[in-house]
Formats: sequence, structure tokens, C-alpha cells
Amino acid sequence: MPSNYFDKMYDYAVQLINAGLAYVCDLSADETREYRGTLTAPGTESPYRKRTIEENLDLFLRMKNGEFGDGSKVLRAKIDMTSSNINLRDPVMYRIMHADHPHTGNKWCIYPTYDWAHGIEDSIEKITHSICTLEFEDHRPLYDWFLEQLKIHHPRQIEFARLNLTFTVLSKRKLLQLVEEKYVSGWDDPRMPTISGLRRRGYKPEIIRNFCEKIGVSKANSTVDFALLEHCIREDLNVTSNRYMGVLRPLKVVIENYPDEKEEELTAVNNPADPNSSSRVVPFSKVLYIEQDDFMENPPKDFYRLAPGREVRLRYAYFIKCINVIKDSNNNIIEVHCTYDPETKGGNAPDGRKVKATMHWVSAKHAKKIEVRLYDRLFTSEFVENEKDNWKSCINPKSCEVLKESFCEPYIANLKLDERFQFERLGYFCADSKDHTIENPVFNRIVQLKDAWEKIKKKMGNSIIN
Amino acid sequence: MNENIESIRVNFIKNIITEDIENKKIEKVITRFPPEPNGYLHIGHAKSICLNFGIAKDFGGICNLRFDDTNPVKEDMEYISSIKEDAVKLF
Repeated sequence: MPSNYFDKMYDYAVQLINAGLAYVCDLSADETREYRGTLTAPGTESPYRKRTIEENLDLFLRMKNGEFGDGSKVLRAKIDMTSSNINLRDPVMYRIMHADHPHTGNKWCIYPTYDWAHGIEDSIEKITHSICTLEFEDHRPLYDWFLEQLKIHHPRQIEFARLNLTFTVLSKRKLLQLVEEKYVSGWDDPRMPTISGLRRRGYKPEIIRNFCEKIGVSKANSTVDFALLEHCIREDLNVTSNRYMGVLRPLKVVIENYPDEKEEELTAVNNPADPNSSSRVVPFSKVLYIEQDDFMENPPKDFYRLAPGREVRLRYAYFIKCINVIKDSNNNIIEVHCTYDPETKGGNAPDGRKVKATMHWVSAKHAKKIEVRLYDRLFTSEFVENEKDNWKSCINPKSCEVLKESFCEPYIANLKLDERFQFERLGYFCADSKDHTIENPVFNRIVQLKDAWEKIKKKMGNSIIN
Repeated sequence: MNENIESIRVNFIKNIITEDIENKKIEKVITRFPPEPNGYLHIGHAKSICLNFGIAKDFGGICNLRFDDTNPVKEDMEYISSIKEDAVKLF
């Protein structure tokens, strides 16, 4: 902790006073600002700049001993009030603050400024390379000046461009506002760009490290596309994650020609992207759930999934054909009735006939009810920082959709708690580290799969959505 | 070994450090990551953590996690423990 170095910092300050390189200044904060000048106008020397070394030593000791009130005096470095670098215009090293410190208690009532403290901390710790963001580039001459005058170990300061990401904010003040004003559930909300938020979202440490490696390090400011972060995790999950079946918005399917009490155990590959993948069994029975989106009563030309009279493949199971649609009194579809072809077990027809769609499903009798949280980007604007004071107006109102009536195959009970997996065709998911229990499973969507259908929908506008 | 040297020369900071070692300006690399304990770490800090801890690892040096406590403000233990957890888990 830097507060351990307070004694040493004080001694170094006395060393500078003795060398005639620091003085106690009585100007008020406003006056100090006025004397400092501007980017275009040089500063003016403080009337206290000519104090003798003896006077400065005495006053600084009395500052330390608590003889003066807050803000009444400061210790400043004596450098150059006409420097083109404002940081070198006699910067403040110590200010008076009668306040208790969490580690040093009331021992001190003078506290070092960042510029004074930071170089000394680096030096004491024998840092060889002090790496910081670009906004400290203009502070480097001051960093160097202090260490040169003190003739102590002198680390090399190197600046790099900080990370900017599209569709998010990375200012601590703004992130705090998101938390305090309850736009998110906390610092570790899975939509937050915080490390704990990303972790809860399902980002493993190696993904973040890989992302940092990919974006590289440079001196030029730039904004990295959020999609690159998503790309990094998708690339990893495609290879490493098992596939399971889950239905987010269930629609009941009844297979009319399937025996009422019959049950089958079908074999499903856990990860088709891995040639050495293990497999599991998935139960099949007469009543199933499919995704509401996978059925259309009056399908447009480009819709190949289930529709009246049409045959599709149920993944790892059979071909089914829709023969009837059951509706409630409000004309909402509540059930779809189908027949299945027992010859197509495993997913292929012996007579060679083809179907254009393969859909995921779960057996209603065996399904486990789950809560699913579908996360999207927290902001609708690509460059949130450009929105200035309006930044909160581009918070995405649909950044979290909670579905409490989703279902998944029973195998999910065997999941390891930190396992990331794919719900086939829906995206990559993981158990929520805070709210998930075996009894009440809660899954976060880490990232979507690329969705060709969405693209077609966009191209054609809303006309095809019923 | 050659591969190692190649992977070290991926950014300009690593190049500078490699030169400093070759010119015998330094022996053991020591970097630091100095967060202020007034919020949670975010992906921007991750870049700095990966850089500082990554350099220390690549060059067989060390990286100090240093909490800036030069100001007499109340410390929020929530922030301090979260920062420790995040930095440790990331590296």
C-alpha cells in the first residue's frame, strides 16, 4: 500500500526543499489556478516562490504538525511557470487535509498528490517499466523531473492507448451510475463490461486474455468493435462446448400415431465439432415441445420449418409432418398435431426423401423447466461516448429478456456448474453463478449464434412475420 | 525457444523491454498494476492487467498489484476484494 511510503515521501519532499526545488505556497486554490496561466498564456510566479529554504522547512514541518487549516497552504515543486507543459508550472506536491486515513489513521494531515506520489511509489518498488494510459503522456516530464531531482531509481514510463469498445461505456463514473440508478442489477450484472460481469456472463479468463492479445497494444486511440469480443468467445465455445436441446418459447406438439405410453431413448452426440465427442441419451415420447418460431400456419416462401402439411426432421429423432393445428377461443395456436414416420429413426428416410429443416425439441414428459435470461448489448448506440450527456437515452431497453417458462432436456441436471454449453440453434449458455440452483435452474445466454434467418427477416422487412 | 522470442515481440512495449534487457539496462522486469479501489475492474483494466502481468510472466519478472490509497478516503472493502478476485482470476 502506498500509504506505507508516506514517511519516505515526506523525507523526499524535505530533500527537494533543501535543494531549493520546492516551496510552501499560501495562494488560494482560485489564485493558484489564475497564476497557472493557460495553454496559450504562460503562468505567473507565486509571490511565495522566493521563500528561503529555512522558511520553507519550517512551514512544511508545521503543515505536517497540523498547525494550518485545510487548503490554507500547499507544498509546490519549483520548476518553470512558463513551461509549455502546464504540468511543470510548479505543480502541487502536498495539500493539507485534516482527515483520517484508513491505514495511517490521524498520523498525517498532509497528503501527497498523484504526480508526486506515483513516481516515488514506482521507484521504491523498483519498478522497471511503469506502463500507463496515454493521458499520462503529458505528465511524464514531471514524473521524470521528480525522480531525476531526487536521484533515486528511475523507472521508464511508457504510455499506451486505453481500450474503447463500441456499444458500451468504460468510464467508472458512468458504470457507477448504471449500478446506482438500477439500470443493471449490480456491478456483476452479466451485461456489464466489468470483469465480474463478463465472468458471470460466461466469459472465461482465457477468452479475455485472448481478446486482449488480439486487440494488441498501440499508441493510437481507437475503438474496438464489441463484436470482436463476441467473436473470441464464440470461436472458443464452438470447439469446447457440448450441445443440448432446450426450447425457449414452447409450443406443444402431439404425435398422433405415436403410442400413448411409449418412451424411447435416442442417442445424441454432445459436440459435433469434436470428432472424439461423447454422446448422451435423449428421451422421446408422444408429446413434445418445439420452438414457437419454428412453426407458421401460413408460411412465406423462405420459411422451411414446420407448417401444415409439411415434413421436417426432429434432431436425433424422426421426421414429423403437421396434420392439424389446435387453437384456443382467441385464435392462438396452442397445439400442433403431427404424425411421425417410424422408418426415419435417427433422422434419415430409407426411401431417400429429404426435408429442408432440422429442429430442436424436448419431450414434454421429461423436460425440465428452466429460467433463461437472454442478454443483448446494453446500449443501442455504437459510440456511446459521442452521445455526451444523452448517453443514458441510448440504453437498450431490451438488453435483458427473462423467460421463465422454458424447457430443456433432462440431461441438463448433470451439468457442471461452470459448464458453458450450446442450446442447439439458440446460442451459448451457462448457469447464472448467483441465482442458479439444481431445483430452479437459471441460464444466461452468453452469446448468440449467427442467425441466417434473422438476416433474411431483416432484408425482407416485417411483412413476413405473420 | 525461438518461438518464445517471437511471441514476446508482439507489441511495441515488449519491444522496448526486450531492448532494455539486451542493452543490460535492466535485469529483472518489474511492472505494476495500480487500480484505485473506487469501483469494479472492467475490460479496459483487463487490457492493462494482461499487459502488465503478461509482460512480467513473459520476461520472468514480477508485477505488483498496488492499491492507490494516497487519499484519506474511506476504503470500500467490496471494491478491494472484487479487484483482488478479478485480477487473480484473470491471471
